[in-house]
Amino acid sequence: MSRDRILQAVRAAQPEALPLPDLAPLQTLPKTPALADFTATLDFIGARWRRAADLAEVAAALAAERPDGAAWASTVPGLAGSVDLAAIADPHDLGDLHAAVLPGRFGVCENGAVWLDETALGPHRVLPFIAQHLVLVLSARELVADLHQAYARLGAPDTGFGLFLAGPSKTADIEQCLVVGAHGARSCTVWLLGEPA
Amino acid sequence: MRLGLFIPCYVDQFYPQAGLATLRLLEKLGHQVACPSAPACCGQPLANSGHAAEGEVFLDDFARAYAGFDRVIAPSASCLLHLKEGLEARGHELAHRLHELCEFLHDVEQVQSLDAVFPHRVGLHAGCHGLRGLGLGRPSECMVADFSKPARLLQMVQGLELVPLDRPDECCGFGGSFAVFESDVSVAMGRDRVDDHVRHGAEFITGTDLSCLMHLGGLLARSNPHVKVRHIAEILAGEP
Amino acid sequence: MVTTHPTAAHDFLNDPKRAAWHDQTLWMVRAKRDRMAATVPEWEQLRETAARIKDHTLSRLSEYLEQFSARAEANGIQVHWAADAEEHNRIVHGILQRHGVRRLVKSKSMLTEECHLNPHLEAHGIEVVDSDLGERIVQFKKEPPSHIVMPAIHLKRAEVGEVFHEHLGTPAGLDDAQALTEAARQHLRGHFLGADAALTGVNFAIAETGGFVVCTNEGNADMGAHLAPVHIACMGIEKLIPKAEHLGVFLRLLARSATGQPSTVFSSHFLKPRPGQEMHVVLVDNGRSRQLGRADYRRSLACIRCAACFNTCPVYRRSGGHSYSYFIAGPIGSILAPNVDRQAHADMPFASTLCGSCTAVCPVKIDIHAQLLKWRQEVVQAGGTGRLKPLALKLTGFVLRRPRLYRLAGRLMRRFAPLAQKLGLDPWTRHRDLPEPPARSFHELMQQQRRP
Repeated sequence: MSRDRILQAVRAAQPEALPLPDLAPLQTLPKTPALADFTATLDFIGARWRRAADLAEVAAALAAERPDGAAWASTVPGLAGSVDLAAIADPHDLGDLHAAVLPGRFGVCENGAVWLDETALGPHRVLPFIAQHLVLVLSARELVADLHQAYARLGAPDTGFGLFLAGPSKTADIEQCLVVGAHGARSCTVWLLGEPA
Repeated sequence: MRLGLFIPCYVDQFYPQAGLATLRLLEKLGHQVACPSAPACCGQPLANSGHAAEGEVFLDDFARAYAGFDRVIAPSASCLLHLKEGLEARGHELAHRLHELCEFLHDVEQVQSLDAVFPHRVGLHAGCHGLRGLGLGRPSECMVADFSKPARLLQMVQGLELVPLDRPDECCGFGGSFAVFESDVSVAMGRDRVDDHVRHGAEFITGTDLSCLMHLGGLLARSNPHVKVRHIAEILAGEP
Repeated sequence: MVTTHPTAAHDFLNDPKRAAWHDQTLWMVRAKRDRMAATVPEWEQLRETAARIKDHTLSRLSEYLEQFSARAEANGIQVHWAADAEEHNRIVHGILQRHGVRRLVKSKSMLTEECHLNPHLEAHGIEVVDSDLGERIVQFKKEPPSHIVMPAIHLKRAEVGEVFHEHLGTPAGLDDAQALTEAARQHLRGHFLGADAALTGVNFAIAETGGFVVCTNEGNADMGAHLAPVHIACMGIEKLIPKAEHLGVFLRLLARSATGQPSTVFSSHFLKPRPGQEMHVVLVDNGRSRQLGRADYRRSLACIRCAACFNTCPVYRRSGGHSYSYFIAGPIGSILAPNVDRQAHADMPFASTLCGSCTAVCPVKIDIHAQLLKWRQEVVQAGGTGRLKPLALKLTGFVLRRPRLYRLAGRLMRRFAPLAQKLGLDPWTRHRDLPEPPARSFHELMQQQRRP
């Protein structure tokens, strides 16, 4: 069986065990997350960001800006979309989704990424990729400085899927010209709720 | 200090003035300098072409001829790096007494001033083996504090103005036998380096390696004959 | 000497404007990488840590493979093992066959390129759609990628326009990147929605959790994987890292090194299939255990495929990806290829000046240029450089070791240099002057001055 053959070959080839480096020196660097750093990174990666006192303010703004008749889905508790995600059995039916509004767990200042786990995606993992536009709602207090802090916070994964999402989808595959809106969302707006810690 | 001067084969044959300048520089600092004539090549051309085994004898020759000196100086970072790595691999203590000229002046002698005048705009070509191999400066890839030993020395020369470069440490494309067997790429790389220096108004291109300078000078002769190459030893020694 | 690289490079440089553009564009990516790396004060510490994590993982790879496969299976992922490319292709085809798959969307996977999966599946009547924009372009053109991160970097906008005109029906002469990308988006959306299965690569597989991470900017891997009923992820066995916390180190390095971004847009962490979906991981050896056993070259397996060494390589930038005989071009390709076939890729370790920029830029500190030098020795020993070059070098070596012969040869050389110059027949003097030969060598001058 190939499994045993490969493992045997690897066992024979690998050198004597070398130590695993300690991450503590990187994990304990004195870095404090700052909202200004996070928003500066969002600007840099082509994401939009806005501040709001509470969810009601976000809801009002979204309602005012949404094109007539556009289908939009929300997984943010207390903010209903026009599409009932639970009623959709096949994710292919989300092909015409205009926007998805999702709750981010926390943001990473150094790279503008927002962590979304499966509970934030609702019943369909494809939601943040298939929607034409993406709106992330995040507490302004929920920030970490870098990815070391991010993984320390995540600990062992507890859902089947999760992602760091940093801005709208993009490509530079044609002559290195940056084009926003490759296959995923054409825009990504991060709403920051409340006051930072 | 009793210093051994190692003059590599192609410097010996084509650039004796660089050897003489190195000698004068070291003597001015009060050193007794000798130059055994037996070994002529470090063996690098063979090793880089895949014949390292045949090149080993040059290391033997070198170690035998230079073992008696306190320190050995070479005005060629590339040859010196090859010797150093070869001797280090053998655990030969001589490896730690080898110095490229600028490194010796900067680190060992800790020269603070030079009696030299060179009223020209000069471009410094950071040869790869000196830069990344011997650590004569900060390679642009590395996120550490910036420094350059050759540049610091050049700044001690009266009237000399270092020109900035768009790509401060891109390889010139010499690469030993690469210059011949991959001559198209080699020449394209060399032309780009030359253009960078010329665009910034360099009257001279200098560096720690005449191999790079031979290549760049050979291209300059055809495209920009008014711009010349000079080994750094000649400038630091105050040669006109 | 097998002259494929020099010859191909010659052709590439025959179009100086395009060659200059290629060089400049990739240099710009290198410059972006520099700017991004400079924003991380602990950058060098990160590199060092990443290198040591990889070294550790490779030293205990068998245990981590066992741990990973056990955890992945516990998570509901089906794990397969492929000793070589053929077995990999057979496994993937078997899965697709069982599901009656006609259309497969595939995100970037250098491994499937290595295994020549596409032609294998196409021969069995399965349509394979490469969904990364650059890969789709070269797939239309029936060309291999010229760069592992930017597969179509050798093409100009107008050429992409021609390809899309032919295959997607965009207006003739359209060469606007935005419009072309939009056309590809519409075209590929159809494929994402219509695919029966999705195949992705793997950037990192985590032994501790049995999960894996896939990074893209376009979102194409996720569009495929989350829509199709079957997701197959193919990975080389060297992609493992011990723990999730190590992702913090590697993800900080990857995008910054690759494209000068602080992060890829999507860093997707797959752990379990979604309800009703089948998820497969194919673990592929295909020569990796052999490379693991070669102490001199073992560290090449630490590569995270960021392609920073491509972008920094002055030879790659001026010869293009297609001048290399292996599908992974550039410096890293040149130390991986000889492990696969030393004879067929004998020229690759020589397509370098050994400037060391690759080693200095590498986020996992692979000693690429030192490995290139070592491969040169092996290629020569195996007779891969033909007879003439070794003979010429041996002769030179013979002369250089004999002081009297050397002095004589030196005098002759200086005497005849002007003639060689005039003739301009050799590769040196065709483009370059030789230095003005001095009347006397350094040692002759020293002897004159009574010196030892």
